[in-house]
Amino acid sequence: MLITKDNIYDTHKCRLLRKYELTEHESLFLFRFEDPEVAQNWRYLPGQFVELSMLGYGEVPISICSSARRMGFFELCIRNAGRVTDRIHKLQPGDIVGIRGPYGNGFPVDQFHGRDLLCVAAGLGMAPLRSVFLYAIDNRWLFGNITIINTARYGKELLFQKELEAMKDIATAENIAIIQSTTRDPDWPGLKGRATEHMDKANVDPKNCAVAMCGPPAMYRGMFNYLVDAGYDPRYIFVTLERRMKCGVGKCGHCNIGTATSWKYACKDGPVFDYYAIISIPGLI
Amino acid sequence: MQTYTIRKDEIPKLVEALKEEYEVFGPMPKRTSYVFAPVTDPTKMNLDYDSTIMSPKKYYLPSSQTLMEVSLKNATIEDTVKDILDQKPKILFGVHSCDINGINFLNRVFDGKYDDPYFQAYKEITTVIGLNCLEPCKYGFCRAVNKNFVLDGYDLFLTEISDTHYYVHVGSPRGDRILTIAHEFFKEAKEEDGAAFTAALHKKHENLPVALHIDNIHETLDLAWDDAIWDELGEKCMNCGSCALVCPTCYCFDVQDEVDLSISKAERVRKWDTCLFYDFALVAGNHNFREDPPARLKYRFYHKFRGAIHDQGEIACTGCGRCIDACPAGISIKDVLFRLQEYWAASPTPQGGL
Repeated sequence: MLITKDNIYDTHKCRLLRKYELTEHESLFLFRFEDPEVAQNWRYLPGQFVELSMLGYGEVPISICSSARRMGFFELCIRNAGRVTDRIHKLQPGDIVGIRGPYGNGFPVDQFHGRDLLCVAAGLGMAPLRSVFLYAIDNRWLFGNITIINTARYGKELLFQKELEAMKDIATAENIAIIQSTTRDPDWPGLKGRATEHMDKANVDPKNCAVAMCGPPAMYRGMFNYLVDAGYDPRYIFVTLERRMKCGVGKCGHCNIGTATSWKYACKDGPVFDYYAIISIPGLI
Repeated sequence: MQTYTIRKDEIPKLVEALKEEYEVFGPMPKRTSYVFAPVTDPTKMNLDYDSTIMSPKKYYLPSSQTLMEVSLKNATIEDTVKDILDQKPKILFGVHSCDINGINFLNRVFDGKYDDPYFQAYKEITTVIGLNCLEPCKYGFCRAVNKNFVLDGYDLFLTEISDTHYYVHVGSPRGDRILTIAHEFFKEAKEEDGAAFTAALHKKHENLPVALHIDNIHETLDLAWDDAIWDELGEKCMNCGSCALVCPTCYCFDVQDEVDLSISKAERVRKWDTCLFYDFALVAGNHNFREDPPARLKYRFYHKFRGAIHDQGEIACTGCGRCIDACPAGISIKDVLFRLQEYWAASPTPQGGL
């Protein structure tokens, strides 16, 4: 639920409670709203994002990374990639930031209920997808088998690698398959190769499976070919995309994706798009 | 509806009378052209202007505008909507139909589920006195895009009915307020004034060119997606963004935090931005979704004539022709539309017609 202020650009104060270094460039930040009423009532869907405001530096759109069912707190996984995110990485627990949102459509998780779930992430794609599979794990009875494929170029870039590794024993008992793989790391002891190369290990029924993906365009193309050939239902294939965003509410025009027959704002109509949108809107990926 | 007339030679006196309550802006001469500017000397304001360099968009969406005042010392952030509402009310005098349609379009963008309080505040304090165009201007093609008339968006609307008089329509309570505080200038319209108004509209329809029809523009653009015209124009385009700056409907903006030299405070500033700039769709990691100039130019055309129909229900062009005047590369949106129209005409149609 969007807790609106009179001014759509106004922010809620959030306190950083914990900072956890995931990789060299990415850290996980745990926030809580200062206003108890907002903290209690703030709701979001997996796949939605917030605008994080650093006073004097600017705003950045960041996917929410935590489960939508764990209320009062939320986590953001942020890569140090620019001026604002560099400042965010210098935050210490107790520091205050501004948050507005949540924005975007998010994954239509209610359509996923009763289905198997396949999450495929490459690199930083794990950040938005973590909100999806944590949601599924928190609502385990609503889903069939779950498979999580997490890939990166190098082992040290693999996001949430330890978290997923630690989950593995319980996960197996709960019919959750966790596959972690690297594509270029010669020293990586585990699986190697791209997501498509490990699809044989996926413990899901293609006919009755929802797919959530996030990664670079090359991964989408490979996965789309595989999924459609393997008989996955295209109506339940979803990806979440990245665009430059300023306002987050469909005004500033930056995230517009326009072609001859379609016109979308990544912030308002996305960032989650279905398979049909991807194949019918050139330029989306 | 009650209508009025006003003598042309009394307009300066009217402006002077309105200045007590309002800050008045109107078409003022500047070198060889006109600009919307404060009417310091009402006798200099020229309602026979053909077009201004910039559109009155700037009174609703300033080129640079502080959204938030940030105190870095106290970590507080405060919006500036109240500052807008505290300003002296404004009157925009002599706004042509194209520009009123432009303001209406911006209103569609900034309204909706996420209502933009700054735009609404400017709307709140601004009174629009429209002016009917009876003669074509140099670059305009408003009639081709059906923007040569207005349905709403004005508070008063003037139409020249003789060498000495304007016919006045009242469009809102705000317009009625002007009649109240300056009633001595307005006479109730008589029957012959009404006849003169009809004659003026006839004259307008005879005068305004209609060579271009864009009824099928969305289908035309669907067909023209892979046309060579975009590469050709993209090579010419300098990506300077002049067209977007002068455009009455271009609304894209950038938001930046600007820190004061004292480092104790900052401002969150909204500035005009345009899709023609290199970094418009650039994301972290240096991926650019529209890297090549032709892609950006094509995007702008498609947003104007295709995307805006999806979003706002109408094309984002009012036919004011300012971008044609402003373009240093000589790209004319009108010529492009003409060529696209040919594309449509040349496209295959079913045998035997419909």
